[in-house]
Amino acid sequence: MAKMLRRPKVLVPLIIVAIVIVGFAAYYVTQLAVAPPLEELVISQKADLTTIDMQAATDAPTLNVFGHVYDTLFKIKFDEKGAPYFSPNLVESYKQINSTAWQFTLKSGVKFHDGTPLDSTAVKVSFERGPKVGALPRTLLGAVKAIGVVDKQTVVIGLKAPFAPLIAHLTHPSTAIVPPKIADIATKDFAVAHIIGSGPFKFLEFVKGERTVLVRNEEYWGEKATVKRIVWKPIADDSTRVTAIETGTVDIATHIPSHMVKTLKDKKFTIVDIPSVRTIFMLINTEKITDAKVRQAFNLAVDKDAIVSKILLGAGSVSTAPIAPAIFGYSKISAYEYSPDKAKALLAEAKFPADKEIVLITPTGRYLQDREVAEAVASYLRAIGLKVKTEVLEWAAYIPRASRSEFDIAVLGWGTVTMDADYGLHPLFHSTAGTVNWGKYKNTKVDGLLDQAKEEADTAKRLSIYKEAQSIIMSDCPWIFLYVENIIVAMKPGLKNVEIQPIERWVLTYAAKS
Amino acid sequence: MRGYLAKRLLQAAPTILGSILLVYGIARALPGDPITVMFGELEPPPEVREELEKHLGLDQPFIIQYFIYLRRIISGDWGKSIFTAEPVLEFTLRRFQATFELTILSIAIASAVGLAVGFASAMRRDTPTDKVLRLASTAGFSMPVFWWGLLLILLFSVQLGLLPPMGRGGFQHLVLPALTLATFISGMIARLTRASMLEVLTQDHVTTARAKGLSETVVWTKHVLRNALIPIATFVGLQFGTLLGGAAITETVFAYPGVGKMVVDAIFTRDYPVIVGGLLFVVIVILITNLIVDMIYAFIDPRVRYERAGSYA
Repeated sequence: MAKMLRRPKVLVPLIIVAIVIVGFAAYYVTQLAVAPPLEELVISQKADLTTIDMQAATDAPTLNVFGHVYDTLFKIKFDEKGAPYFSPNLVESYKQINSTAWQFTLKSGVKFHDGTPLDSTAVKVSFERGPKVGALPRTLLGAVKAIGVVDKQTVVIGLKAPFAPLIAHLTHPSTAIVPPKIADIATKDFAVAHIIGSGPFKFLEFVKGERTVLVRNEEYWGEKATVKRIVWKPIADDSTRVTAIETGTVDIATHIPSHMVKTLKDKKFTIVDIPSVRTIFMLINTEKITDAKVRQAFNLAVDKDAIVSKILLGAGSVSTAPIAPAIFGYSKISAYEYSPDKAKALLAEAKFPADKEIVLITPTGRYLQDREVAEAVASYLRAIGLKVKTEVLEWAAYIPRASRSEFDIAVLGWGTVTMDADYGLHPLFHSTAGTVNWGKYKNTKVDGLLDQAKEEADTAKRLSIYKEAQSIIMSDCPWIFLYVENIIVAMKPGLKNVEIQPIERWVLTYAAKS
Repeated sequence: MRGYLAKRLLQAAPTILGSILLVYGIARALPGDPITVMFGELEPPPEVREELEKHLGLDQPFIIQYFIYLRRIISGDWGKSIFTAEPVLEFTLRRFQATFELTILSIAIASAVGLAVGFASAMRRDTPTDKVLRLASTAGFSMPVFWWGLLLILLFSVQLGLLPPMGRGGFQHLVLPALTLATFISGMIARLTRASMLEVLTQDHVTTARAKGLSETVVWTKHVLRNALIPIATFVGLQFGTLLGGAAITETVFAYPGVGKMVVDAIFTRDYPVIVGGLLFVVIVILITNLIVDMIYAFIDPRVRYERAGSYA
C-alpha cells in the first residue's frame, strides 16, 4: 500500500485532492466567521409609523424604526444569561459630580447623517426639544432641571432632585440625540428631510400604509451595519402577517399569535418566544371597590395559570409581582392562588353586595388577546357570584374612559422599557405623581418608598426598598395581577444576529444569513 | 344633455356640503380625540393638552370648526394628516390610485364571469346546469369576504406559491384581492343577468324575432341579451362607484393600501382631516360615477332619451 502511494501517478492527484478539500474547508470556515452582507431585510410589524418626528412617538413600532436611525447616550445590552446592563454608546466617559449633577463626555468624531458634528449642543437641544414635543421624553427626562454645555464634547445634566435611574432613562430611544437644526421645527411641520440621526441607518422613504425604508449609513462612526437596506412593512392583520413570512414576502414578522407558532415551527421558521417586560393586569378602581379584602377576592377568583396556558397557549407567565422578573428592582412576592372558595369567604366577610354590578372595560386588539382574557376574568368573577358587565372599546375610546377612572375594573398593560423599577412602579402606584394611577390607589407608605427609591444611589438599598413597596402593593391589591406577556417573533430559516430584546426592541443592524 | 348635466352638478353641491357636515359631525362625536391617540397612557398635562387643542383647532366650537374647514376645502386646502403631516389630498389621491386599479380589475373579472354564468344559466333554464350555476352564484355573494380572501391566500400564495399574499406592486399583487371582490360581485351579476334575460324572453319583440325565423343564437344575443343588459349595466356602474369608495375588509386582509383602509385607519386614530377629506373624496367620486352611469343608461336605452325629448318613436 505504502509503495503504491509513493508512485507519482497516485501521489500527485491525491495531493491535489487534499489541497482542494483543505481549501474548501478553509473557505467555509472563513465564511462562518464573516457574515455576508444582506442586500435587503424585510420586516413586518403590526402597526405603521404613527409619526415621523421621533421625539413625538410613544409607540414601540415607531421607536423600533427610529432606534436604527438615531443614537442614544447609552444602550441596554443583555449578557449570555439574558441579564441587562447599560453600556455607554455616544458617551466616552461619565461621572456623577454630586447627587444632582452628572457629567458626560461624548465620543469625538461622531457625525449626523448630514455631516454635522454630534456634540454637546446637540445633546442640549435634544433634551430641551424632546419634552416640549413628546410625552415620552417629558416623562423620561422629567427629572432633568438644566443641561449645561461645558465644551464641544462635555455636557453636564443638572437634576431637580437625586435620580437613581437616570442612566436607564438615557437608553430609551425617545432620549436619542437629534441635530440642533431641527430645534425649532414643530411636529406638524416635520418632514422626512428633518429625519437626521447619527445611527447605523439613514431614513430614505416613508409611504404611509405601505413601507418605510432605511439604508445603511456608510459613514457610521461605529461598526458598520451588515444589512444594506431595511424595509418595514406594516401588516395589521395577524393572519396576513403570518402568511407574509410563510410565503417569503417578509424575512421577519413580529407579534405572532401564539396559536400560529406551531405551524411556523413545523415549517422550520425560527421562532423567538421570550418573556417581555410588559405586565398585563386589571386596574381596580379603589374609590369604588374600597375594601382590600374584596380586591383580594378578585385575585383569588381568577385562575391565572389557566388563562396563560389555555388562552395565551403558554405565551406568558403568571405575575408574581407588579413588574416583570427581568426588571431591576423586581422582587418575587407571590402569585395569588386560584381559590374560588377563599374568594367567596372574603366577599362574605367584606359583606360585598351580590347585586352590585361591576363594570369591566377592555380595549380590543391593543394587547395580545386582551378581549378574550377580559371575558375569561369576567367569567371567573361571575362564578363566585358577582354581577359583571363587560364593555369592549376601541383604543381611542378606551383611553378617555380609563384615564377618567370611569370603570370598576379596567384592562391595561405596561412595559417597563427602561428596565428599572422606578418606571414600572412610580407612574402606576404613586398616589399624587402617578400619571397612570387610574385606579386611584393611595398608600402613603408606598408613596414614600417609591420617592425614596428614586433618589437612593445604593443599589442594595434600592432593591430592599422596592421589595417592601411591592409586598405592600401585592397585599393591597389595587390590581388583579395577571401575567407577563411574551414576545413572539418569527424569522426566515438561516437568519441570524437579529436581536430580539424583552423591551420590545428588535435590533437588525448586524443581521446576516448563515 | 348639457342642461341635464348642469342640473345634476347643481344637485351635487348640497349633497357634498351635507356629506361634509355629516361626516365631520360623526367624526367629532366619536369618543376620544387625536391627542388621546398620540399620547396613549401618557395623558399630557392640562396646559400641554390645551396648547395642542388650540394648535389643531379643536378648541373652537364645532360649527366654527366646520366653517373653517369648509372654507379651506373650497380654497383647495384639504389639510394635513395630524400624525404624519402629509397633505390629505396627496395622500388620498395616492391611495385612490391603488383603489382604482383594484376596482377596474375586480369589475372586469366580475362582469365577464357574472355575464357568462348568468347567460348560461338563463339559456339552460331549469336544467341541472342552471341549478348548479345558480348555487355557485349564491355561494359567491354569500361567502364572507374576509374568509374567502384568506382561503385564496392559503391556496395561491402559501400552498402553490404563485401569487404574493399582500401589498401593492405589479399586476400580480392585484390578482388575489380582485378575485376576492369579483367573487362577491359576479354572484350578484349572474343572478341579475339570469333574471333580466328571462324577463326579456317573455316580451313581444322576442316572439316577433322568432316568428320572423331568426336563429336562436341571433334571438338570444341580439334581442334578448342586449335588452337585458340595461339594468345590468346600471348595477355594474353602481358597483363600480361603491368599490371606488374602497373595500376596507379586503384591503385589510391583503394589506392593500387603498382608500377604504386609509379611512378606517384614520377613524381609529381620530385623524380628522384624513377622515373627512377621504370620505369627501369618496362622495365626490361616487357622485361622478352615478352621473356617468345615468348618462350611459340614457345612451343605451333609447326610451330614456325619447322621454326626455318629450316624444316617442
